[in-house]
Amino acid sequence: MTIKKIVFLVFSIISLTGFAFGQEALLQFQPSPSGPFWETQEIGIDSSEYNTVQLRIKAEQNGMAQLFWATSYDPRFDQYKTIAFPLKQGIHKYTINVPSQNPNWIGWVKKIILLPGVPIEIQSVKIMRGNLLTNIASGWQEFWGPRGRLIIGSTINTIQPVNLFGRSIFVYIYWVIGLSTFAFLAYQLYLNLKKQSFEQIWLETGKFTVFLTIIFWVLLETSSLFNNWLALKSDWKYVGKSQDERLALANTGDFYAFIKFCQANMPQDSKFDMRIPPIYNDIKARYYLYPREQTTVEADYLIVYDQAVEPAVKALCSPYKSFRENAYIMRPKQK
Amino acid sequence: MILLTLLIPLILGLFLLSTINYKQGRLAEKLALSFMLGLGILVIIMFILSLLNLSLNLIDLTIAVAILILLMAKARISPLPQGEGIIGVRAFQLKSLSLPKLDWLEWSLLLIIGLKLALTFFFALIKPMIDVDAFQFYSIVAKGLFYQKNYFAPYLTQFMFDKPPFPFLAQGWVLISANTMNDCLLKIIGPVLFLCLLVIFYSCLRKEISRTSALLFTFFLSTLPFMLYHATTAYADLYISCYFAVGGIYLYQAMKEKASSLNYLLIAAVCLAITVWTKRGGLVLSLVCFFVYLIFSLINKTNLKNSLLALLTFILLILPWLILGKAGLFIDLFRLTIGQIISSPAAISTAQEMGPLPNTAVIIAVFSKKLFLYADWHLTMALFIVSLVFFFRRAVSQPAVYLLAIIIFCLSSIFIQFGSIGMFRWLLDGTLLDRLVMNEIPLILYFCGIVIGPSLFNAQKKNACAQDS
Repeated sequence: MTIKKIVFLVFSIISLTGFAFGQEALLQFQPSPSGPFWETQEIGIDSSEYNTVQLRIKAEQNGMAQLFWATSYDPRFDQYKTIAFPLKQGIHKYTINVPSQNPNWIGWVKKIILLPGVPIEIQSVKIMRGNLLTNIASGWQEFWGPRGRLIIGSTINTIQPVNLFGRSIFVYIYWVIGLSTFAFLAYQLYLNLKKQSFEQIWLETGKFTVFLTIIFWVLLETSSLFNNWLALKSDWKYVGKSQDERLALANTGDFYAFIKFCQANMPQDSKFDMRIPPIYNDIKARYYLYPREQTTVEADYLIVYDQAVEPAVKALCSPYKSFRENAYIMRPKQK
Repeated sequence: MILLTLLIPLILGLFLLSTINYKQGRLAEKLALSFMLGLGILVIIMFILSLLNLSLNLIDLTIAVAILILLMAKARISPLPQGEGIIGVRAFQLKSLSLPKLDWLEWSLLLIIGLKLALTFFFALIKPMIDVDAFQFYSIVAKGLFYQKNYFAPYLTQFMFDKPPFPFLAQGWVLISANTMNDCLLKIIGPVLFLCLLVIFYSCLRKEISRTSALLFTFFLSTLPFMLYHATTAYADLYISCYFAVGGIYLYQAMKEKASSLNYLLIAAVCLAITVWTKRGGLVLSLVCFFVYLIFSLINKTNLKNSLLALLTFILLILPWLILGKAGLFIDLFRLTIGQIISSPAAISTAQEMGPLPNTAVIIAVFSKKLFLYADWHLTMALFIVSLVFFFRRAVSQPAVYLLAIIIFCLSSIFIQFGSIGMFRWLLDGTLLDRLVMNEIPLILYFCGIVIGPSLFNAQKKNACAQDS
């Protein structure tokens, strides 16, 4: 009982230390007139003093948000200074220990912006020096966050790990397995060296390590199953749909509708050239429009989708069919 | 129609197994193996028909398969015992369909394996193609096969480069046999091969360790996130991993069962030959296997005739691909292997732009991070190290040490193949490393299974389990 009280007391002191000595400032976020994001005024915050941002957000639905910041060293908002986190429908508090998730929280922070993926209302934002409780809250949120969980598009080369305090979860697992193995071996040597041979103890330690590995494997797999569940929810939109409906869903905007338009207006044995922005839709167009063959010489058609056509090429072609502005089919004049 | 897609390779494979006279495995293993072998042979048939300028339509292909089946029936190694079907179908009786007596742990493992497989099929089949390389290379050729019925149609060759034909033809087979241009179906090969790999992996492991241990290691294999992801795409990496893993497993079986090794050896030879057809790296992987088997044969003085027969089978099966003029590719690979970098002006220019390689410490840090800290393999690499450190005696015992040699040589071959400055960046920037390591991952888990597995559950339970199954 006494031990429990001591543990509770130490834990409370550690937790409250942050509050006792912690600095805290309120930030005002406003919807930006120049885009779908929220921004602060120009600020000047010492990143070494303030490391935790706490946001209270009302979201209309589940989605994602990204926090960006500009610093005295790098005033741009870019992919290197950002943290993504999931938004939950309703009013929720989000705690982010920024430097533990992104090392670029350095120098003087000049401005912060929040880019939400769904309609939101920011009710309050605090910036503070984190304490044990806020660090745990931040780590928990990071663990269940998008990194290593959501696969957006293709991830053919590698699968990102889930992070905790900016480090791969595997780092912690290896430390636990390594230290436990070492402790088990030391304990066995201390207890059983006279009764058993070193080889037997070594083998027992190996079995212990394997069982630890199995336990962590099962935990990792539980986390993977959660990722599978997210992917399942994301892909459920395809269920019960026709092939054309699925293809329309798998493409962005009206791209597949444009492809259908091209298929309807170009014979199967024709050849086409295209002006479609690389590097994804142009490849898809070539695939979808087959058996119509793509060529850069003597094409029967020129298909254009959201890309400017060189004046010299345009002069040689005449409009054939229009899908919408900036998406149309042309034909060479001599044809 | 999709049933036909799976059924024709399966039947072809069953007859091939019958020709090889493979009787050691269980029914599930034989079925899984039949599909994998049948699909590989079917692809070779499609390639040869294309070479002969014959149309790749369903009727012609079925006739070609039927002729091959008749030839195989004639060429059986030894006659079947009376009353036994093509693969010992007599064993397939109602009593074998009854549920096995599994404990809660085994049921749990089986449940998760089943769940992961179901998810793999769902993710593969529910959505259309979304992966760039699949569009760019394999699937457009598969679509071309569906419309043109000819692998060598001039427009299609620009998408093939020097890639081996298996992925193109296997995906083309799906569209031709299902008679539809549904690109969700294009991806069915991946989950089916993954299912076959799991079945074969479990069945072969079960021959050596208890059912619970075998299920545990199969569970490990079934939950690898990177492998599962690749099983839902239409890339070639899963194909090569599956065929190489099965080839390696049966080669190991051949080394273990010295007395009755011929049919194991032949299966390994066919699988390794199909590995050559799946991706360029397949040749290096296969040659490593044969090199290790050669060392094994010399040390253990195995039956030379059997080894030569397996080698001949391997060469015969890769011959069509060789005579198409791809020998140059193999010469390039050989030059790379002995350390000569490709000296084309483009390669030299790329190398100059890249500047010198980072120092060894940086390279090791990058590779360690990729292999140990990413979510691709869960804790496979840690398990591999544990098996080598704590179960060293078993790891270097015969014939496990040869499997270990295959793994180590194959992993090393990655760095030899991509050792030039221009190509090494593909490893450093993460484009290729994980995909290449995936080839060895099933074998690494198999190795861990045979080394660690016997220690995990006591011998009494092992015996009880063996009686059960």
